[in-house]
Amino acid sequence: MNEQESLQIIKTMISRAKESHHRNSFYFILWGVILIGAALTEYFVAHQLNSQFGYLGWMVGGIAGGIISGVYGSRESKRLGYEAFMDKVYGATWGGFGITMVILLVCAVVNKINPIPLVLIITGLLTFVSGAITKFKPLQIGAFVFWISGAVAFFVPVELQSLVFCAAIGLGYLLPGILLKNNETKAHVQSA
Amino acid sequence: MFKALDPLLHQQLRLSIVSLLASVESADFNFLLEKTEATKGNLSVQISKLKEAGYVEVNKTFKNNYPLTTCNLTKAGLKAFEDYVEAIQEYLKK
Repeated sequence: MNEQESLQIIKTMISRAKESHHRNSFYFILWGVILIGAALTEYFVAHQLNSQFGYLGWMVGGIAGGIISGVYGSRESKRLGYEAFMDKVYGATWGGFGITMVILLVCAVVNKINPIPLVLIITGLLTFVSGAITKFKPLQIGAFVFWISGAVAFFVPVELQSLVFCAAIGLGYLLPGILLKNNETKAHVQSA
Repeated sequence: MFKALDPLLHQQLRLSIVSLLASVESADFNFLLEKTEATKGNLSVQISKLKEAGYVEVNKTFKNNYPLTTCNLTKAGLKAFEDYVEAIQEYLKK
């Protein structure tokens, strides 16, 4: 084996290691649909039907989303067979976000404070970081949608905050998620 | 004067394994098998040699009741790989 062949082996292996793609778009689409569903449920049940069960959508959606994400994540890790350096950063970032959200939502509900504006602003931060890690601009643009929507939500009546939330999730989360899915499909076809 | 190439890394399959492990945090045996296109026996032997040299760490666990072997590069392994790449670059410059 000469030096040229050695270099070629190194290049080939590094390129093969990058062939197995993570499909992070799944999480953005899943949570985008769940959160829009939960916010619309709250809008109609709590503010149109004046029922006290408006929160049910969040609870059911949150539990279902958590279980589906866990099962999907475990299958993905088995499918790929490796853990990349950035996966740890990504996992820790979103894990920390999950804990932040649970604390925020529990404290907000106990104190009867509407958490939507704060949730939107914090989600903006996480979406921005995710966009930087995955080098995907639509997610970073989505972060600005969250930040602006969060600021707007502070100044609109409570019943309209659910609709602001839906628009923010749709534009800042679901749409970039669909674009990311298209990118992942293209990358998968190219490496096949 | 050129640096001597590490004889442990200057072998096709061992170099492939270390190059793959340098690109990720950790990888399981099947991932290495698929990417290197080696046979199970040969891959096991070469991983053992890298382990004995302290270049690779091997962890044997269970996942869903199936044995799972994962490997990762040690600090010494990463340093050896970096030195090897540097030495190769010097040879190619000549």
